Amino acid sequence: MPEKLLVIEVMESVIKRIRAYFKSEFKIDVIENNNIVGNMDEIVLHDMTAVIVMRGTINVLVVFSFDTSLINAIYSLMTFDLGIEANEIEIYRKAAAGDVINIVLGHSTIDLQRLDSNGIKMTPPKILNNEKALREMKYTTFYAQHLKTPLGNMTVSLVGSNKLFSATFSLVE
Amino acid sequence: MVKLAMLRVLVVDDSPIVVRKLKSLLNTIGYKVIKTAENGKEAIEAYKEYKPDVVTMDITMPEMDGIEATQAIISEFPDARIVMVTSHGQERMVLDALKGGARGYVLKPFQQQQVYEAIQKACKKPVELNFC
Repeated sequence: MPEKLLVIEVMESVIKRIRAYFKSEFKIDVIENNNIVGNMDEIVLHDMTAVIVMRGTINVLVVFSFDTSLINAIYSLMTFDLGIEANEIEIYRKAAAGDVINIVLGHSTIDLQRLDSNGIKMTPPKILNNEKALREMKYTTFYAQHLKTPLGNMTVSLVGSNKLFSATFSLVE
Repeated sequence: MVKLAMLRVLVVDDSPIVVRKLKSLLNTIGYKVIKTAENGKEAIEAYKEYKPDVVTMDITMPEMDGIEATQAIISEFPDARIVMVTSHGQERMVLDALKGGARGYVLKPFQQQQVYEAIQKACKKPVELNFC
């Protein structure tokens, strides 16, 4: 399968799984907003960001970046019955972001498994708080989908080498 | 009156939310979480020290993943009862876990009944008496 199609297929699966997970677990409706293809210096990061690398045939960095209001709402819904102490809130807010990306991508592997007979591996989530940029990667390109919810916005970005995105692959609206 | 034995559980997961949810859920069922671990290496050490009746094991964790840890525990303790509790839904991962010796598989986000049934099956005896 051409790589540009693979990137689109990964994004479609991720969005579908976010939509289903947010609706069933949190009763949050998700609306797709604009999407964008760009270089790394243009990537949009909100207040809290969770990152996982999917490895195998699909070799891509997946970035979920949340508005504060959205991650706070998800944190509250996830932990309302757990008796979180005031001094634990930040740890559990980050854990909520990690759990969202982990569950969504774990479910996406069901959709994407036919692309990789050896199995799709995932790294544990890494959480970035108030980071403005992903620094470590040079010569990379991203494909991002902005999402709106009544509780705040988030952006999903797939980051890979320039090779992952063909010169003719343009989804900028 | 019969005094019921309480199942002793080791919970392995790198998410503090999942650990807390599982502890709460297992306590509600009537089991006792005797130890928690954040990665596969810690899980192996904890298993050796506490010899739990059942382990709930995540797959994606730092240091060592849950499938490697399951294989390591089973190689030393073939009767270990390990139930994978993970977000990974792909068949390959399920098969790898079962081949590695896991006795059950629960997909996150989990419901109490799913976890209960998976542990019950892993124990291969009715656990109405909370007895493995």
